[in-house]
Order: sequence, then structure tokens, then C-alpha cells
Amino acid sequence: MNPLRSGLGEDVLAPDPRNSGDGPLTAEGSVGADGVGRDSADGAAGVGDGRPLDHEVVSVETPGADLNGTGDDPLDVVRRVAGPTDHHRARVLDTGRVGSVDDVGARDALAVDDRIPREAAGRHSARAESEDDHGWDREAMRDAEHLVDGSDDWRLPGWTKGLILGLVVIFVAAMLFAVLQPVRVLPRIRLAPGFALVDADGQTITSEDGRGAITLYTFVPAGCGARCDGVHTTMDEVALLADDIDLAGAEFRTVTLVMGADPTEAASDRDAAAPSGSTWVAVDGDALNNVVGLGFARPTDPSAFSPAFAIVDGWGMIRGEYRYSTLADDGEKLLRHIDILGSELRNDRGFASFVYEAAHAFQCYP
Amino acid sequence: MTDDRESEAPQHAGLRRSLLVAGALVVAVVAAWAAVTIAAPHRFSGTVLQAPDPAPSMLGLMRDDGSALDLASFHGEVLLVYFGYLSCPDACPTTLSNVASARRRLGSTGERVRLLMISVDPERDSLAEIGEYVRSFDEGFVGATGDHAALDRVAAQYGIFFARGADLGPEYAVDHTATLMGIDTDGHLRIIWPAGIDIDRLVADLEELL
Repeated sequence: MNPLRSGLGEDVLAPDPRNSGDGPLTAEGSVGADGVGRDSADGAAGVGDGRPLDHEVVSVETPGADLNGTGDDPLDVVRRVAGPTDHHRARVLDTGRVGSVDDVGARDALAVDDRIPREAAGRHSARAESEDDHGWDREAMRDAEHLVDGSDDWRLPGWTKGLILGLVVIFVAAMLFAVLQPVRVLPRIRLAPGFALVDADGQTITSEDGRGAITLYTFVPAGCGARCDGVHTTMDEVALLADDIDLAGAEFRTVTLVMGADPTEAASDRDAAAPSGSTWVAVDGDALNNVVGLGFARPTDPSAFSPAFAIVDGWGMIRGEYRYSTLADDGEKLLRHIDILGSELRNDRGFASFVYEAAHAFQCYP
Repeated sequence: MTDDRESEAPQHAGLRRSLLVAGALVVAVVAAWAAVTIAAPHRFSGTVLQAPDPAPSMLGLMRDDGSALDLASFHGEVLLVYFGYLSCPDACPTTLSNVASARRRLGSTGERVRLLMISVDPERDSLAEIGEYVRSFDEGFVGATGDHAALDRVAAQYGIFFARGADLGPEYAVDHTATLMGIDTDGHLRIIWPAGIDIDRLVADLEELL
């Protein structure tokens, strides 16, 4: 035996050269009244069921139990210390699980051999009040049971356990949040273009008009006619049903950008597309390239027309882009996304806002 | 007497265990809160783009020193972009003043924060005047402008609307979007602040961007 530390009245932790590898937490043996050992495992190792152990902890508080240089088996020492009592059990702790020598205090070590009489262990004064009729320290025994049973095998301060528990809870919660996505948001794709254009009624319409509102844009070429009927139907349907969505007081607008048109042409197209309630805005020339081409990233060539929509929030951010290759009526999808946006608006204060910001960070997008 | 003591011992043990559990719970809650407030990502006051694109080109605009404006020259710095004009009565000087204060508050790291004010009133604002104007707020500020075609193109991509507004006697106002935009050190348009952003919040956001 090669003790790491030993001393009178203290525990001894020593590596057992007969064992190697990761050991179990405990091993035990027993001593009969005749003092003959009855180990629960092979007596050669003397420490339990034969599973390998790296280190051993032995209660040696009784004078004369110093193991330095003795080479004694720890279990034998406990038997010798305990004397010819009814039943003794020695427990051996894996220091890799218990921690340092100081973690296994005399009190715990006392109860490691939970059948050693108090007097034999030499700890009668400190625990006198909790001794039972047999002179055994029950409280120490209970603590030791926690220690040796493995229910309290990683002896860390309470605050450390709490900290670890808290971090684990946060980690698990974050993982669950990312996987389950209980809150969904629309991505902040990029800035919607700024513009000042003229609508079909000759009024100046600017991107600032949409500040604080949710705006659904669509893009149609001038003189689109029946090709664009599906688009107008979708715009009207969404405009009608969006009234039922709680947008936390934000206005909902629909804007139809008529590409390549002057205001008069835009008015003509609007009238032909009745009953569209959208604001029809003419966009042509450099503005067409700047606003539709660069800003909304849509083709400006009328021959390349395909239905497309964009949702812009009150900050002027594009939150949804819908580029359909067919005229499929997908108003339901637009409404669902507008509802998601409304949900974010309704929860943009207090703790809920952190949750929604986390949803952005985890990219919980529909 | 021994019996009394014997019955009290389990009670004490139970109480001690309860206190330990309660203490652990308190620590866990405090740890969770600390993790949220300290370890959690900074919550920007402005609106953040999660997957930002490179900032749109400013091709066609000129710096106040007469050179072509190239965003690459600001690589490694946080560039705050603001569209305004020199006769702007309130929003522009307030924003420039706030950014100058924030830059001073940041100390030495503030040297890596630049403000670029782009005049949307090229008829009245010369490059030299723009430079003199912005540097009256802070020596680290840069001015720029260009012809209307270039301004329209650049402003549209930055979500900026501007148009000649009401006549004010011999002068006139220019209506414009007054948001402040942040381009990060890698040249990505990352954040949009509303007009009149609080200096403390701006400082906190800039510290995070830096």
C-alpha cells in the first residue's frame, strides 16, 4: 500500500496497486463476531466484489490504525480496529468519485464502516447526542449512506450544484427552444427600399407612409390585365381577412406597384381590376430599377412577370418575400405570416420580447 | 431523554435537507438569471438583421475630400450611415451630436467608429461644406454626396426616402428618413436605429458591434 496521506485519527486515501482502472464507488466486506473476515467479494483484493479500484478510503480513527508502511489491506485494518463485535462493514470509496482527502472527513469516514461502535471510532463526543443505545452515530451513518450509496457521490458545495443545475436547465431549455420552436418569427431579410412615388390618384406615396404599419406589396406590369387577376384577388382577400388579426394597433396596408406605368395608366389598371382596395402606385424609369429592381429584388421586365409579394414591417424591413412561379392563391400563407408578425408586435415588451428576440437568434422561422 | 434526542435527529436531518434543496433552487434561479443577463447575447436597441448582406454599394457618391466613396475604405471600423442635409433644423444635428457623444464615451475604442453623413441636398451642400459641417461635431466624421441619380439609387437601397419639402421663405426643407444605420467591421449592414436613439443605448450597441 502506498498511502497518499495518513495520520492518527484521520482517513487514509491510498492507491491500491492491486487494482487499476475506473473503480466502483464502494465495496464492502464484513467481519463476524469471531473476527474472521467474511468479505462480500473475494478476499484477495479485500475490497468488495472484485471490481477494480484506483484508490481506497478506510476509517482508521482508532489509535494504532496508521497504515503507513504496513502494507495492510484496508479492509483488514478496519476489522482489526473494530474488534470482535457483531458485524462490521468496511466501505472503500473511489477517490476519483469522492474528491480529495479533505472531502472525506472523519465524520464520513467514521460511518463508512457503519457498524463500528462509537468508542472504537473515537468520535463519541462530537456526535454524542445522536448516538443510539448501541453507541452508534446514526446521523453519521445516514450521511455515510448517502456517501457510499452513490446518492451523494459527487460531494460538491450546494452552490456549485445549484450553478451546474442552473446551467444544465438553461442549456436544455435552449436546446428545446431551438428544436421545438415554440415561438416563431418572420426573418428580418433586409431593408425595404425607400421611395417617393405617385399613386393612381396623383398623391405622393412614400416609404415613410408605411412607418409603423405592416404593408403587403405586390408588383404587376402596366396593362397586365387578366394575367394578374389572381394577384389582385389574393391582395383583396388578405386585406379583408387581415382585419381580424390583432396587429397591436398597427395599420395593415396593401400597395400594388404598377411597373412601367405613369399614374394615369396605374389608375386605368386599378379600375379594370376592381374591386381591389389596394393602393396602386406608378413606378417607372430610374425609380423602377431602384425600388423594384434593387430594393425588392424583383425583375423589372414586364415579360418576366410572375406573381410576387413582399411583407414589410413598420421598421421598413422586408419580413417575407413570396415569389411564386404559378398563380396559386396563397393568401392563407400570407395571412398566417402576418399573424406571426402580429404576435411579435403584441409581445415586444418585457420578458416576452427576449423570447421573441431569442426566436430570431435561433432562426425560428416558418 | 435518549428517545427524545432520537426523534429529534431525523427532524433536524430533514430540515437540513430541505434547506439544502431550497438553497440549491435559489442558486439555480440566480445562476439562470445571471446567465440570461450576463452570458446571453447583447440585446440591441436597434433592429438587427440576423443574416445581413454586404452593405449596398455607394458607387457614384463622393467623399468630402473629393475622392470616390468606397465602403471598403472603412473595413475594420463600425460605420454609421446617416442621410441628412446641412440646413436640416433638428433631426440631423441631434443625431450627429448624439453619435459624437457616443464616440467620446467609447474612449479609445470609439476611434474605430465613424459616421458617414450623406447629404440629400446636393444643390445647396458642397462637398467642402459637408466636410466642415460634420467635423464641427467630431473630427472622425465623414461627409459625402452625389448627383441625384446616384443619391436616388443609394438611398433606395438603404431604405431612405427623401424629397424636397415645404418652402421656408427663401429656403426649403428636405423631407427624409432619419434612421441611423450601422455597418459592421466586415462591411455588413447589421443594425437600424430609429431617429433620436438614446446615447446610452447607442453606446451599448456600438460596444457590442466593436
